[in-house]
Amino acid sequence: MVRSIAQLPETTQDVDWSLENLLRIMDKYGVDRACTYSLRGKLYEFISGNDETWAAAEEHPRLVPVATIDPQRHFGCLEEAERCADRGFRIFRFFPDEQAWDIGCLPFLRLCEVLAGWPVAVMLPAGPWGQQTRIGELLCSFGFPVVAMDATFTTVAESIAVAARYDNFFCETSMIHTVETVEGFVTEAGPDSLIFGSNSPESYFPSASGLVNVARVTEAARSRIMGGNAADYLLGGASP
Amino acid sequence: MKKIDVHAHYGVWTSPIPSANPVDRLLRLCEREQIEYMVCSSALALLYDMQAGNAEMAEAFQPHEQLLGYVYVNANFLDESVAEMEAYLPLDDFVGIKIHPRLSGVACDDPRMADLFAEVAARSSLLLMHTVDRYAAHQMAEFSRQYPGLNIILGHSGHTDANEAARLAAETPNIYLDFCCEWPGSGKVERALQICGAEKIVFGSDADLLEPAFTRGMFEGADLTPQQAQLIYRDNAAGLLGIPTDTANSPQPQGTQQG
Repeated sequence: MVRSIAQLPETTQDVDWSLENLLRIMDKYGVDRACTYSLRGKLYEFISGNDETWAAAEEHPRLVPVATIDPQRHFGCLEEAERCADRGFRIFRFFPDEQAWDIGCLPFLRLCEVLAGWPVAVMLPAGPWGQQTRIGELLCSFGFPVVAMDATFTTVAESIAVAARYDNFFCETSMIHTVETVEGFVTEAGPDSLIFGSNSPESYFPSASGLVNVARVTEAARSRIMGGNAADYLLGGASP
Repeated sequence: MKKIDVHAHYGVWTSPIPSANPVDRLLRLCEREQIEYMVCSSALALLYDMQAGNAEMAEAFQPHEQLLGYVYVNANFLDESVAEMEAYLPLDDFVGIKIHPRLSGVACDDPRMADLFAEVAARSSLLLMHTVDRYAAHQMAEFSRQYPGLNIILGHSGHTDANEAARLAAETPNIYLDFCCEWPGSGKVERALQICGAEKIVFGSDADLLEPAFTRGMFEGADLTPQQAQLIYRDNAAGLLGIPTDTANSPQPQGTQQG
């Protein structure tokens, strides 16, 4: 997974956000596919950002294009959802935290209604305590796979509970922080509930991969986390 | 590669870690990560009860030479903190002091913190200071100049202000950096290596709140040379703790290896 943060502190301004660096990281760590969105799309303007993402993925098929839409813009949002889905985007990433809107707002739920008519998945932040429960209640009934990003040691307990309740709720792994939690997650919610993410190029790839690599889970479970679940539920159209 | 972990904890957390004996969990991490010594502070002391936490950890660690302790002190309780230092620093397995400004609710520039530092510097040569912004890092640099005999590890290296922490480490002989952090921002280790050099960086994991492999991943991502890795993972901390350098495992400087 690739993302950035909107309020860039000094250290993230130093990050090499280039496409070339992303491809280099993929080569270095043996990444077959990377779900990728445009920083321009998140921070500035999503239509041209989505076009940029699509062009990059066309040039480099290892990149899985991820569209992003900011519902605050209102005009053109539903049309952009249709345009991207029709074009072939299969993942939509939303940023309620960094763009300062709420997942219960009607503009976002209308977007979800549109997306529910397509074979797509939705990614959005795990957010503060309580948000994942709302994600489950508000979004899982749409039927598409929902991936909660960046759950940390302070919020991953909620991830486990929501994943155990909703078959189409998944948790991305990059910020889970403890191996025992990964192991407990697999025990409680099943190995199909976790989807590996690295947060490259913002974060060190080996921090995220090391967490999954040292977990005491079966190799079959590790394989699901490191790519099988993403391949099936995000890219392959399999029903959770 | 053998490691010395200068930033770990003993106790339990609110995060979902399945129940197990805390000592067993730490020893398992040490074995898997080749951690020769792990220096811990008490989670109970940090979160709730300073005296009970220090006492509990002292008792739990007594049979385990591999597990070393920081005495946790709190600027709200100066007299009690002095008593804690007097009680535990004479013990072989307590090697320094831990202060957490946020959890104690006393900012680094609070006069009470200055009073505590005077007492710490009079009794110890090693302090692990939770440091997650540039303002705290600058205050630590000021204290380090005031107390040159006190080596201060900036726990978390200023978080997103790691570059500034590295600049302070470069210009202040007794400031060191440890990079454990829930945000493993890429490039910060490489920049610190350029700014202050590997000699000022130590390995701290924040175990078992955070996974040591998670922190190790930051250094792996930074493509350390064998010499840098040896300094960071072990030898710098060995110097701070008075542990002999692992000369048998120390890589030769580049240029002499192929002799």
